[in-house]
Amino acid sequence: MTASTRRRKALGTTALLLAMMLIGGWLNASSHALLLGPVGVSPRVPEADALRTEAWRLVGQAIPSEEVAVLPLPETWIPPRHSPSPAVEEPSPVREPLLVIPRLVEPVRIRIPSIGVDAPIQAVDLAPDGSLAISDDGDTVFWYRGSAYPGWPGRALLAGHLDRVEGGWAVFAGLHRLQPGSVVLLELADGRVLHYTVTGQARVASTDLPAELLTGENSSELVLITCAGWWDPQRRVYSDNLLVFTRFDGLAPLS
Amino acid sequence: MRQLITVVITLALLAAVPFTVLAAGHEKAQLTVVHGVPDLVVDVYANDAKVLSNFTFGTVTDPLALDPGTYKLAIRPAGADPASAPVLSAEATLAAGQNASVVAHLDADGQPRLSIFVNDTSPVASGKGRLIVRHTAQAPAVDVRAGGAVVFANLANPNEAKADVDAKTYSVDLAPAGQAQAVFGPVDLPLAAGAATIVYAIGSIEKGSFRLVTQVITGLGAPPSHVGTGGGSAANATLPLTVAVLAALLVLAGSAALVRVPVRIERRNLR
Repeated sequence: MTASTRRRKALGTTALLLAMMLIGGWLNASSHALLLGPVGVSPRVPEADALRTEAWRLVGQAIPSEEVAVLPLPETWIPPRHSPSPAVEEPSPVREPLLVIPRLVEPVRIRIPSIGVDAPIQAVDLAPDGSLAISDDGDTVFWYRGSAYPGWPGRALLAGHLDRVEGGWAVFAGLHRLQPGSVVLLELADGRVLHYTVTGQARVASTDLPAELLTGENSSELVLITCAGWWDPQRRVYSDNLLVFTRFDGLAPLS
Repeated sequence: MRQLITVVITLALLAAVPFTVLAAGHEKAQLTVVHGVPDLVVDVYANDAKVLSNFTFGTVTDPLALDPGTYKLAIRPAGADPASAPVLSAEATLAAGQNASVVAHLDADGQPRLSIFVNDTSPVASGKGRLIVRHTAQAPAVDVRAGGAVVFANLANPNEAKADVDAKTYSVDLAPAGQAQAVFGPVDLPLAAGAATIVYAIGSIEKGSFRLVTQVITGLGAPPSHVGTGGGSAANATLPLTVAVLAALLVLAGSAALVRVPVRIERRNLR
C-alpha cells in the first residue's frame, strides 16, 4: 500500500466520518441521551450577588407607601381576655400600614440588542395537556405565569417561536447566536428595566424538558426557550428545544 | 503525519460536540425571617453569626440562601452583646432545597416566641394561587373569609391554614371564630398565579399593633411538558436541505477517495 493510498484512505475516512457526524448529529438531536450545545457558567461575583439582593428588594420586596393598603382597625373588635394597657399606649404621629404586600410586576417587553429582538411579552398559563399555552404569533414572546416573576428568586421562562406556520423566521430565530456575555433587557409593566447577561445554552429533546427547568439556583434568572432540531411533519413539532440561560445583574440604568 | 493530522482534526470535531447537562437544582435551603413582635428592635443570629441587624417589627426579609443543616437561631435586642443571653432562641433543621420561614411573634397570651414554618413550594396547578394564612398574633382564633365565605375556620395562634384557589384578587376579612361581624377588613388581597402568598397576622390586637404582612414565593407552577415554539416553515425550507446537501457532498468525496477514483493530490500542495 503506497503512501498516497493511505493518504486517500485517511482523507476519505475523515470525509465519511464528517458526513456521519453531520447526519448523526442532526438525527441524534432528538435522542434523549445526547444533549448538544455548550453550557458556559460564569463565575459568581460577590458584588453581583449584592447587587442582585439589592435588586430583589427593589423589584420584589420594595413597598413604597403609596402601594400599601392602609385600613383603619374597626372599632368592633373587643379584646376578649385583656383590656388594653394604657401604660404602653404611645401616641404615634405616623399610622403604620395594616396590610403590607409585595407588588408583583409582570414583564411587558424584551430586548436583545445583539440579535435584534425587540418584542412585546404576553403572559400565558399551561394548556390542559400540560404544554405551554402559546399562540402561533411569531412576533410575541410568551412569559409563563407559573415561572418566577422577573427579579424574584427562581427562573422566569420566556418562550418565542423559531419560525412561522405561514413561512419565515420568527422572533427567537436568532437565539442560537447568543454567546455568554450577551445582554438581555426585560421591561416590566411599571417601566423598570431589568438587565441580564447570557451564561450559556443547552439543547434538550422537546419531549423531555428537564424537571428543574424552573428551579435552578437561588438566584433570579431568565430562561429563553425556542425550538431546534428536526421538524416532525406528522406531529408538527421540532425534535428539540434550545434553552438560553441568563444571570440577573440588576436594574438597568434609565436611558 | 497526515494520519496524525486526520486524527487530530477528527478529535477536535468530536470535542466540539460536547455532552452537557442542565445546571442542577439548587441544593441550598431558603429561610425567610419575619418580625412580628411589636416594640422590639433586634439583631438575628444564626449559629452565632449575625445575619440581620436592627430588624424591626413588621419586616419580612428576602429569602436567605443557607447550606442545609441545623441552625441555632437567636434573637437579641439590637446592639446587644453577641455573648449575652438571647431574648428568643430556637433550632431549625433545613434540608437541601427546603423553603422555610421563621417568625418571631407573640403567642396568644402575648409572650414572645419563635415559630418555624416549612413553606409548601409544591407545584400549583395552572391558573391557581396558593393562599397560606399564619396566625402569629396575640389575638383570638379567627375565621378567614373571602368574598363573605369562610375559607379557613377557627384559625388559632400559632397555626397555619392553606388552600390552592383561583388566582385573582379577593376581598378578605377576619371575624372571631364562629361570629358574623368582621373585625378586620375587608381588604383586597391579590393572589398571583403560580405563587404562594403567605399572610402573617402579627402584633397584638389589644395593644393596637395588629396587622398583616405577606411573603410571596413565585415560580411554583409546574414545568411545561412541552413548549411548541415552531411553525415548521423554516425546517421545511432550508435547514435539513443544507445539511443533506453538505452530507451528500462529503459522502461523495469520501467514497471517491476510498474507491481509488484517480484523484491525484500532490503531497506538497497539502503540506
